[in-house]
Amino acid sequence: MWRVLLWFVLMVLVSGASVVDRRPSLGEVSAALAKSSPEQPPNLEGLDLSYLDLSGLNFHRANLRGANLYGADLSDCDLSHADLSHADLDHALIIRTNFTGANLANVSMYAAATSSSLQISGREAPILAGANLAGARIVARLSQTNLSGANLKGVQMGADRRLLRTNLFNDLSGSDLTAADLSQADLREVPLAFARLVGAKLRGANLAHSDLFHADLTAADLTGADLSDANIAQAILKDTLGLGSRGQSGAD
Amino acid sequence: MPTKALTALATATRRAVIAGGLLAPAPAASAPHEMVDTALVLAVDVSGSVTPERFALQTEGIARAFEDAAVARAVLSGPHRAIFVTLVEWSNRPAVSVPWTLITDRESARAFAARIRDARRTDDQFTCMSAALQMIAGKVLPFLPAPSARTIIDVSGDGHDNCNPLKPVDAVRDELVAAGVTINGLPILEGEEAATLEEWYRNHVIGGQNAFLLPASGFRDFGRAIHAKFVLEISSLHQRFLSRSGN
Repeated sequence: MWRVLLWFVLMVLVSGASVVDRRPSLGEVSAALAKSSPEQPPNLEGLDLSYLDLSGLNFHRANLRGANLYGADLSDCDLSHADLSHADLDHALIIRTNFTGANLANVSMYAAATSSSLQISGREAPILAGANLAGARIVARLSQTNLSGANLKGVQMGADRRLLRTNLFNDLSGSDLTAADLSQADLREVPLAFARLVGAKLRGANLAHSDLFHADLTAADLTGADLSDANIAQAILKDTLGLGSRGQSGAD
Repeated sequence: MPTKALTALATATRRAVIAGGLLAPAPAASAPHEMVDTALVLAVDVSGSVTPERFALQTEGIARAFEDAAVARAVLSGPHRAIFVTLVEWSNRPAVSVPWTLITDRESARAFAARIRDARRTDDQFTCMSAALQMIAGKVLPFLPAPSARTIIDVSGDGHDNCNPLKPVDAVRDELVAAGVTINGLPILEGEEAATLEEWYRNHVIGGQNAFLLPASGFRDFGRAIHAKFVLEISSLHQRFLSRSGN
């Protein structure tokens, strides 16, 4: 009798695992999106969607918590207000992807592609306005990207010596970071030239060796930020808070 | 092997045929959206060989066909008196140019024709038919707003697939056919591949119940060919004709 019981439990466990670990097809993802409604957004939590061509699909308000989107093509997707916290976006294509208001807390976005060519263009940049990227680990060229109002608390974008031999680096030059929260962010050596940081919170951020050439830091809060060897030449520093508090250098 | 989504699509299509196409009485004209006779995907080649003039000939041919009384009669000849139709342009990357549109009368057919004329070309270089059919299977058919008695993909183009796809056109076709989809072909016999294209479409592209080829002898003949094709595809007479002729 106990053998029958054990066999039953084993089968339940095996069948359960196959459902959870199952890799949905593109058609199944689309069917889930087609069935969803504003009251009942699609639930794709924890699914393995790696390498799928999801370009152009509407994931507005979708639950993608912990989803595996490694290498997925998310170009032109609407992921606004979607929950992608703890998702894996490594090597994902995020060209023109709309992440407005999305929860991207603690995502891994290593070598995410933001351009279809070597030339970075603002027209191809993803939209991250109001997104929550707290604690995210990012290696991506996010220049000319709209990150206004985004939560980037503790984001890890600092130069990684392990990437020196690669062509991978972070880039926030020309981006709009108006009113973004970059407190405790690791922005070591990150290009931020011409970035718009008006009213941005940079308290305790690590900006060592970063390039803030011509960045607009009007009313930004740099209290406790590490600006050692940062280039702040021609930066706009009107009403900037906390300057000179720690390691400031390079100002003209 | 067909995917689960396509299997589900096949089940839905079969159910729809039983429930709507053969057994159910014609519904009231006020509620055609609950079920349609045909879901028609117009997949139009916009690869490098398709010049702006050739693209205009294709879209104008489709638009005029939908403005024609014979096509409108064909639309209204089914038990549900309604079809859904969408336009997909395909080259390197396929894209939906006109989303699923319900056609129930001449007015809605004319409005669809106007949208076809306004469709912005998403041109590129290569003839990636496998990618186009995969995209239609994965991103277009699942979004059909209502069940359909028949699902038809209408592929037109002037060349063979030249994208070296991971999944050959035949394999994608077989998955779609297994799901109950019919793929019809309108090869445009003009240019370098004119001599072999009809045979290639016959062997690799078309498939499914009552599938057929209707070649155009060139881009200038596209309007005539697509008009004839629509009448055959949409009209309920088509199935009776083919079943009588043993096709």
